[in-house]
Amino acid sequence: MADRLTQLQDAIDQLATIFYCALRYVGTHHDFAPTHNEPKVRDETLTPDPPALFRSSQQELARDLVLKTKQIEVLIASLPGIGVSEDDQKERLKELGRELERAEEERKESIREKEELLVQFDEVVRSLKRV
Amino acid sequence: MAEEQDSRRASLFPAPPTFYTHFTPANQEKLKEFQTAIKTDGDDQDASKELPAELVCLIPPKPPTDKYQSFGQIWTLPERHPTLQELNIPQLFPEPNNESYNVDRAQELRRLSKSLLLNYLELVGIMGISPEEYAEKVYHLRIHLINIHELINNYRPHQARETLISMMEEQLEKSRQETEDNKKACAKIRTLLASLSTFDAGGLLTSPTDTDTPSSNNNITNGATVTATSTASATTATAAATAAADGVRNWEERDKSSWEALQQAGL
Repeated sequence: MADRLTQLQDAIDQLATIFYCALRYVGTHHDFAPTHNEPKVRDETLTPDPPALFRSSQQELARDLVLKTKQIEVLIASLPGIGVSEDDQKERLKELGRELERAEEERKESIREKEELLVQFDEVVRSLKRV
Repeated sequence: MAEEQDSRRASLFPAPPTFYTHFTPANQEKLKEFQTAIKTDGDDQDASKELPAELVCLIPPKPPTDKYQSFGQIWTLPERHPTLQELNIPQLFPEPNNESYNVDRAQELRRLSKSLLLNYLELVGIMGISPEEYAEKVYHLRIHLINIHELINNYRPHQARETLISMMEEQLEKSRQETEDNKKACAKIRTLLASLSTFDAGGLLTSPTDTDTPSSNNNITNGATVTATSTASATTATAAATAAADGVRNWEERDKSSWEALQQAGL
């Protein structure tokens, strides 16, 4: 999974794409309305959708827009480390470094102890075998 | 000429510069002669001017100190992210002010995304009324998007630190878990060794009638169970004493009891 910032950037890019798609859809699929007694205008480059479909498509595009915006808001709210200053982070990093060193010492100590016991145990097992 | 140069710089695999033909052994010899001549003269200021045209290219240029161009892109020294002002793009968020900047950043992002949506609404409105005037709004949308991306990219070092912190926490947790597991394993082995020492006292190894068991075995076992607790060794002693007292047991019985002890020890 990408990190939050990349997700946010992707979401923003998608929002821009939706912007474009919505306008383009309306631009290429709208129908014409005759004024007064004039005949209805025709444009060969356009393929008007039936009114019901046009309406529902518009609604869908609008819903996409709102959804994406909401998603962006959620992503912004969940950005990591909000409210933590750079100095706080550096302090925490140093502290973690120290703790890690200590934990590593303890880990090595325990491994050493385990190996010693293993040798002892091995001797016992060998002596049993000879009985 | 300039255009030609540009296309050459921007192409993925640019042709070598035209002066590469000057790099011949003969020319290099000549250059060496020139340089020694300059050194002996001790006057290197206008000596380079005297260099013939085909030799000038043989002397590498001084490293750039300000900025340089590579594959059509301009790089600054030291390398850094150009600010929006440098790119002639209006900056829509305030400059960082250390303390509460991270909170501000989220706030700014939220503000910008709202503003972006509003601009789009205006653009749609304009498209409905006078589509020719789209340019300004599209420009605004562009500025907003660039600003948002800039803000997010500025956030990246912060996120990197945050990620590092969580990774270190994870590692710390793992390391501690391993220590814990090791300690548990050690405790288990210790109890096992302790129970083995009682089994030892079951009569198989310490029985005086058990002539088949060499005493060296006994020593090893005792040495191995040195870590057993003092109470365990006490029971060992008493059990050994009882075993010695009724040493008239037959072999089968002793064998049976040893097996029971083994099972008790969990082997």
